[in-house]
Amino acid sequence: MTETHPIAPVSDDLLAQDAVRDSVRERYRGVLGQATKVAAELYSNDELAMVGEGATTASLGVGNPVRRAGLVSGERVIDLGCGAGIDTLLAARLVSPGGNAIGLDTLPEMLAQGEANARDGGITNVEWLRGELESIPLPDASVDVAISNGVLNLSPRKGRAMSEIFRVLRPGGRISLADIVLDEQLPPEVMTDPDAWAG
Amino acid sequence: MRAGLVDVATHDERWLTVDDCSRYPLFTPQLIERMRKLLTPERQRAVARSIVFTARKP
Repeated sequence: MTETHPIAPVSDDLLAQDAVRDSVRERYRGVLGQATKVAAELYSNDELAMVGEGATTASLGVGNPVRRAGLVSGERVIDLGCGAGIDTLLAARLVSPGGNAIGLDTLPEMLAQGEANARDGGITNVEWLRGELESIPLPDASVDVAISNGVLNLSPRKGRAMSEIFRVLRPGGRISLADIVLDEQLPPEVMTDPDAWAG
Repeated sequence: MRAGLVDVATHDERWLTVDDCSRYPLFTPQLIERMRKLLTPERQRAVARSIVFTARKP
């Protein structure tokens, strides 16, 4: 028998938002440390060489937001929902010297993995910050560029998340967000499956 | 755009198939199997679109 969840994945219902958030967190915890081959399709060999194997094999992204961000030396970048840090570390490389990257994630386990990957790669111009996409723990107008990779779709409060991104960007600041969009709904048996909310 | 951003553009658009989804451990084997069972062959080749959005704060 098909198991489904009674709460729709995108809802104005605050209880549903909590359920979605908790479900997504647990799913990401569950895949921590599992190797994927996703990065080889999204990044060039040169890009992968810049970040090292640990970050590469843990990639869960859906695109390459760093390539479209136009990063230059000296900029401050935030990677929203950084996971194990492939985009954070790539961004840190590209804004050096003089710039730095911040990896933001809600899971301390992911931040620890990102930190270890930075250490392994000898990348020092990077900070790891625990926080929510919908409540970014940074002052107003404090970053030049915001990037994310397959993360905004996970938020049950996307409007709030976009407001926060806008708030922390400096005037003239840029965003480069890789994500997935649905042109038409999937069947209810898929849409209401909590396992689909993290994917 | 309602968020107040300008110069909004999309890049690197590509379709994600069920096979693509199966490469992500976030999708359980049960969910992948359900998608194969419930989606038409055409939809299995176009489950969702991956896009990169860029924009600038004025």
